[in-house]
Amino acid sequence: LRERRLRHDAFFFDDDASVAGRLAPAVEEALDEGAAVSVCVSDGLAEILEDALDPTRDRLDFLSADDSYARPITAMGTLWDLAKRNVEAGATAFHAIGEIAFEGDPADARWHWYEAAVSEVLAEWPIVATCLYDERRVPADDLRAALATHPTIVRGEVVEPSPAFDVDRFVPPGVAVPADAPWRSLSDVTAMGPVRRMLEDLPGVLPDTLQRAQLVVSELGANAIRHGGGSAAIDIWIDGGRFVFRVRDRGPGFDARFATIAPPRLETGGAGLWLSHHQSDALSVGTTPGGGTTAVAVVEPR
Amino acid sequence: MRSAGTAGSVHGRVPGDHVCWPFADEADLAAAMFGFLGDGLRGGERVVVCRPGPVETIARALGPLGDVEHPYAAICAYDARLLSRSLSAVGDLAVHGRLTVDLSGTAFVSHQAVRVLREHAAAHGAALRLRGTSPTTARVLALLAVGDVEVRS
Repeated sequence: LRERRLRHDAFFFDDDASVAGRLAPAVEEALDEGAAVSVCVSDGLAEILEDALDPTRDRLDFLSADDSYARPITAMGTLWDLAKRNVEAGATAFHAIGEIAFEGDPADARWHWYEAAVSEVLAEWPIVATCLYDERRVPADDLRAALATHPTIVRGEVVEPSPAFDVDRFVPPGVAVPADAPWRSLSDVTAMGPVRRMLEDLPGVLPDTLQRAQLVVSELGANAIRHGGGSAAIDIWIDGGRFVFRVRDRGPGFDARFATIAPPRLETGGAGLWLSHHQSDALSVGTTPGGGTTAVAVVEPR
Repeated sequence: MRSAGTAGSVHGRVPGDHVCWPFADEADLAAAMFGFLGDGLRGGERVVVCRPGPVETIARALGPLGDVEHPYAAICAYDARLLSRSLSAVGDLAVHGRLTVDLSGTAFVSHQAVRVLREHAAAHGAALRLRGTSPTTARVLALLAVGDVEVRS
């Protein structure tokens, strides 16, 4: 059995002063105990916390919500990387305090999936993740989702298990393929080298896009060949320097809902999906109706 | 005894020999491979093939030789297991506690191949250094955050 070391709290608040009053002593205590702390919140809240804390303390960092938090996979990568680096450097634990700017956009559902994934895939890490929800601004549906994605709820002085914790509700976003015919449809692919070479020398494709496209299709194809019966069927669409790949196999199917966002374990697997997701702009993997696994990835020019 | 100089034939090689064999085309290469590998098999030796190209194509080409180990095509994801077997057969390649792998002729290295190389180095108490990594390979290594692998482009 895995030892659960992660603590993942949804911290509800309705005034900035109360956040600082609650978090600042907790941060000081964590630092005193040898933990590392990263804070990534809105500018206004960061200012209040910076005033309440000594920002020059070792192992305390204030991060800006830059491109690292553009997508769930990059946010997970940042969280995992910070935790890994700090723990390897001797920190007793890693505390992350973050705030997602929910605005009622349907696309925000991907962030609920991310929060659910954090509860699941980082369970063994010595991480204390505190997610801030401003009840004045966050839509009610998103507040309700927070109850399902976080095992612990903090509101004022009250800290309690969430009665609605249920990560299995959350599914990864799907990715559609173009309606038109693929540029290439390859069947019974058993090695990925020729597929990678097929993408070279295409007009209008930026070098960075090509490298990412080659990596993505290669890892997805290798997964299909390795785990899906020895060969893959690969469809490729190219339009305006944008790639879409559909990789299908005849294996047992694949329903692990957080597998595409789980940090890699080079020794035991999962690295191919991590690499593919990181280097693509969208990725979905699921069981094909009728059998096998289908992965769809989009690689956009950047 | 290991000889030095110009080899007139692929036949008659002995352990320790290291021959550079230029070829003009696939037929030329196939003839050399059949001769060289056939000698090894007839002598009860294990043979390993490492060359770019689809695995099945190579397997078909070498099929008439009989009991040939399934060949692997350079270092690609599909063949990481065969890379592992090949490295095991070769044994300790580390020098002064460091296993250096030159990837300058390789456009792509899968994460499975990185894992195999890393495990092989660790099994021999060596640190792994990858030299001549392509930009794509460098991406793989950075995303895997394998801090114990030294990378030199």
